[in-house]
Amino acid sequence: MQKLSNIAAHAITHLSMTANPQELTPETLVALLERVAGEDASALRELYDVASPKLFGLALRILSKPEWAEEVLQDSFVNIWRFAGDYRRGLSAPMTWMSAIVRNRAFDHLRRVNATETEWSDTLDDLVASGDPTPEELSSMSAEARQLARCMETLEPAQRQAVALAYLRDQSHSEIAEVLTVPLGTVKSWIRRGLQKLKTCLGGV
Amino acid sequence: MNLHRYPELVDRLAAEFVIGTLRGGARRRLQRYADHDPAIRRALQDWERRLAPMAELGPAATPPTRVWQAIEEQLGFAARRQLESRAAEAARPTPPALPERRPWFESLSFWRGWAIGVTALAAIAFVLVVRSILPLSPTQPTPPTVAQQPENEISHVAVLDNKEAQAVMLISWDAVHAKVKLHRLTDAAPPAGRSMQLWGLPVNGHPVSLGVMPDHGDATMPAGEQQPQQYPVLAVSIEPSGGSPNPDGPTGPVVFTGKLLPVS
Repeated sequence: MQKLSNIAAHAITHLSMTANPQELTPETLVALLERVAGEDASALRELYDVASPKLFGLALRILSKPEWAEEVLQDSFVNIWRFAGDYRRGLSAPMTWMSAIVRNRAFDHLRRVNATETEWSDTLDDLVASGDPTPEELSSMSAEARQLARCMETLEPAQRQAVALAYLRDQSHSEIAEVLTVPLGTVKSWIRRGLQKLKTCLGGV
Repeated sequence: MNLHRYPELVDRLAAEFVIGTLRGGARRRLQRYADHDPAIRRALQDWERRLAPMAELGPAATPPTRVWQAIEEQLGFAARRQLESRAAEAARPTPPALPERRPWFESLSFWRGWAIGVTALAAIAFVLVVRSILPLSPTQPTPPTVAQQPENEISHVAVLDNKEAQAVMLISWDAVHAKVKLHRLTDAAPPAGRSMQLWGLPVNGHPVSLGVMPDHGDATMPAGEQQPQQYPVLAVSIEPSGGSPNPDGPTGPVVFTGKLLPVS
């Protein structure tokens, strides 16, 4: 069975090669999604290899428990398999489309589990990338995400947190006020002004 | 209220709708307006497009391998994946079989996938042969009476191959009489003190024992309540004498597999 270990080693090398962030370009993802739509199981595996770290990171940011994030990731890829044919490249970048699936599945999960179980453990700063993304991270983002990341940087940290908590955790004004320990009115104006600033920054998007 | 007079308000409500902070009655109301008003729909779509990439921001994290395994299981294409690894294997020279270590050789899912690919053609060929030689319909010169039911009503057959893809057993399943017949094509026998056990592999769920085989020669085994349609693949494993101590699957290596195909 010596050959088997060779094959395994080869497979591992191959996997780590395909996990290269370069492979996460929209073109690659669109091509993979098209093959997945044609029920190509190996394409789903390739898609999983390149996209799951990003999507798992998202699920972890939305959900407080890693086991929930795992369930949501599984659920999401099953949905990607079933609905890849519905993806329209003109409407959204492939990573955006898949991220929306993860976000929706995660929100469904949040609504199913007892709200009192929910307890965020990570720091708020991790919600959206802060600071300058590395070149690897940049190459793995859609153009839209790069632009949004740049615009998010123009917000005050508190505005950024409030916007991210609302969008990524489905939290209400009063929940955010509680988390950030500020008055309700402050949260409302942070989000309102934050969104306005984003719109201006994103321009004609 | 005519929202069109207040484009800034529409924009702000749409933004809060998409980010999720517009809730309750206000949210339902805007949704209702949007159903009839393309301008509001457009405002919502614009904000969707602006904010959706936010889900991409933030650090990546590698999920544990069990997540992919669960996806594969849920979508039921473990067999397809195994088939591909078999193809990769076939592209290489056959390694000499070393008896001391054989993890893949003992893997049911490996054999399941492999059997589907490699055996399909052989099995189809066999179906054609079996059709011509087995008395599928009574061929007696006089019509059979109730007492003279045909002894064979073969509905499904499987050719079981060893790991070198050589046919070693022909299994024919008589669903009418609930019998599974074993015909050895070679003198494949279990090691001394061990038994060979036949398993049906359903699409979902654990293997089901179809009986312990005699060490030599042909045999007819009762199928009981089992129906051939339930088992697209059959497998033979090497077990302790008398059969697997686990009712839900083999404990020893799987040595032969084959696809169970309907005769007609």
